Amino acid sequence: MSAMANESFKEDREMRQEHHSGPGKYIAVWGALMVLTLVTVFTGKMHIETGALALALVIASVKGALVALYFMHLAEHQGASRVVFITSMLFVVLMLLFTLFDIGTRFRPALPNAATPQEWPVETRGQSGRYGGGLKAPGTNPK
Amino acid sequence: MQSSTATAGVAGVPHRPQVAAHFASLEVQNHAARLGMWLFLATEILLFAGLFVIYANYRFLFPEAFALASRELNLNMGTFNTLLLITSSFTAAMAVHYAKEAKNKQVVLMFVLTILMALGFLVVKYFEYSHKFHEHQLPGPYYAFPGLTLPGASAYFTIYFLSTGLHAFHVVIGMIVLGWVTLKAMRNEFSHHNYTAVELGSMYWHLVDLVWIFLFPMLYLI
Repeated sequence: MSAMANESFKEDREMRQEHHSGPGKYIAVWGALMVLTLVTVFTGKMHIETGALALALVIASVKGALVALYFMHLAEHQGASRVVFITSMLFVVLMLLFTLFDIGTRFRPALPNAATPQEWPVETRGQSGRYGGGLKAPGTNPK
Repeated sequence: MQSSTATAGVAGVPHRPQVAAHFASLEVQNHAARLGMWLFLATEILLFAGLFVIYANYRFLFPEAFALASRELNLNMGTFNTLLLITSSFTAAMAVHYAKEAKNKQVVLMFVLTILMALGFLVVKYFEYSHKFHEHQLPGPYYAFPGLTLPGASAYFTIYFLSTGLHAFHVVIGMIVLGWVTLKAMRNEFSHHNYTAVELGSMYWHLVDLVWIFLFPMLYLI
C-alpha cells in the first residue's frame, strides 16, 4: 500500500464517526428559510433609513448559512469541504471590501462625472488635503 | 468513479460502484468526490462574486438611481420565485435522504418536483424579462425607459440582466444535471452504497439557491 492509501485509511476511521441528518431537520430548515424570506421582504418594504442594507445582508447570510450547513451537509462533514467553503467566502469578502475601499476613498472628482456617492458621515481633515479637493483661501488650509 | 459493470442495468440488482485502488473504502472515495464538488462550487461562488463586486461599487456610486430602478422590478414575482427556489432546494435535500435509504421511487418524485419548480422559476423569470423588454429597461446603451433618466439607472439594469441571466443559465444546467440523476434513479441505481450522484447533483442545486438568496435582496429590496 502506498502512503496515499495510509492517509486514506486514517480518513476512513474518522469518517465512521459522522452522523447524518434526517427529514425532520430538512423540514425545520425549509420552514426557517421561508419565514426569513418573508421577514426580509417585510423589512425591505419598510425602506428603513439606516441599516436597511446591513439588515438585508444579515438575513441573507443567515439563510445562506442554513442552506450550506444543513442542505449541503457542511454541519456533518468535517475537514476539507469546510475549509474550501470558508476560504471561498473569505475571498468574496476580501474582493468586495478592497474594491469598495478603493472606490470609497478616492479623490471625488476622479469618480465618474454623474456619480452621487454618499458623503462620509464625519468630516475628516484628510478630505481637504494639501493636494486634494476642498481648497479654501490661501493660508487657511490645514498644514 | 461510477464504473459500470455488466449487471448495472438489471432491475432489482443494486448498483455498487467500484472502489479505485488508491482509496481505502467506498466512503473515502465518496468523500473525495464531494471535496472535488466543493472545489468546483468555490469557483462558482467566486464567479458570481465578481458580479456582486460590480453591483456594490456601482451602487455606491449611484445610490438614488439604484434604489429607484429596483422599485421597477416586480417584488411579488421576485418573492414568489424565492419561495419556489427554497422549496425546490428542500425537495432536492429530501432526495438525498431517500437515496441513502435506497427509496429510488421517492428520489425520482423529489427530483421531478425540483425540476418542475425550476421550470416554474424560469416561467416567472420569462414574464419579468418580457416586461423589462417592453418597457425598454435594458442594459447599457439599449436602456430607453423615459420614467427613470437618472445616470446609473442603465448600469443597474446591466447588472440585473447579467446576474439574473447567469443565474438562470445555472438553473437550466441544474435542471439537466438533476434530470440525468433522475434517469439513474429510475433505473434503481441508488442505495446506501451509492448515492454520490444524488448528493453532488443536489449540492449544485443548493448553490443555485444560495446565489439567489443573495441576488434577491440585492436587486429587489433596495
